[in-house]
Amino acid sequence: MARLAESEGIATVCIMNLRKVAERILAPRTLLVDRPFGALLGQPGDRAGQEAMVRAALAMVKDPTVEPGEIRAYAPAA
Amino acid sequence: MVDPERDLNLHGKAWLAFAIGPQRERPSLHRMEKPLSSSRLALVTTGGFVPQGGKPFKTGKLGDATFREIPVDTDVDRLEIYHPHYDHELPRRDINVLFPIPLCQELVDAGAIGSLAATQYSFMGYIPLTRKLETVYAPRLVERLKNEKVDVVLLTPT
Repeated sequence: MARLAESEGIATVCIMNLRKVAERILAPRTLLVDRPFGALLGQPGDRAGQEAMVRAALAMVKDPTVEPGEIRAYAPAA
Repeated sequence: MVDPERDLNLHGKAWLAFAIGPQRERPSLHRMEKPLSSSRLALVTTGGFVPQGGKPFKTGKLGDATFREIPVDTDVDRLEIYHPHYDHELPRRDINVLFPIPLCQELVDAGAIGSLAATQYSFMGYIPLTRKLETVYAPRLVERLKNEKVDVVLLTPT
C-alpha cells in the first residue's frame, strides 16, 4: 500500500519492529523500533515518548538524505 | 531488548514466515515539498480497529484483507479490536501506542502538522492471502487518500 501511495504522490513512513521483515518488504521509509507488537509507539501514558517517536517518523518524510527503502533504527533521546 | 518474534503465537509465526517472502525491489519515493505544518496526515494501522458496532474483521486462518474507515472524531475509547495475533491490553489502555489519533490531533493543535484527514484507516494485520489486498483494497484505500487530499501517511503495522 505504501509503495502505491508513493506512486500517487503521497509520502509514507512505516513504523516497524521486525528488522528481517522490514529488510525484505522494503517499505519506502521505515523507522525500526524496539517495541512489541501492539504497542509500537511506546508505553501507555508515555505521551512524551510516543510523541518523540511520531516526530522521528514524520521527520523521515522531510529528510532529503533518506534513501528509497531506508530503514532507520529509532534512537530515543537519552 | 524486545524480541517481538518470541511473543508471536502459532498463526503469528506462520504469518511471519509468509511475510518474510521474497526480497522486494527497492521502492521509489515521493519527496514531499510542503512542510509538515501545512500537510494533511492520515494514519493507517493494521491493528484491527473497528468503529463500535461496525463489521468485525474475519479472524480465522484465511485472514481478512479489507479495511475499516475510522472517522477522525471517533471516541477512540469505544473502538473495537479484532486481531487474534497480538495482545490488545496496551492499546486498550492507551490507543496512542498503536493508532495515535489523539496524539496526532495534539500535534495539529500545536502546529506541527497541518491537519488530520477526516478519515483514518485500519486493516487487520493477519493477511496471509494478499492478492485482494494488492489488487482491490490497497488501490481503493489510496484512492480515498487522494480524494481526501492526504499528503503523508503514517503506517503502524502489527
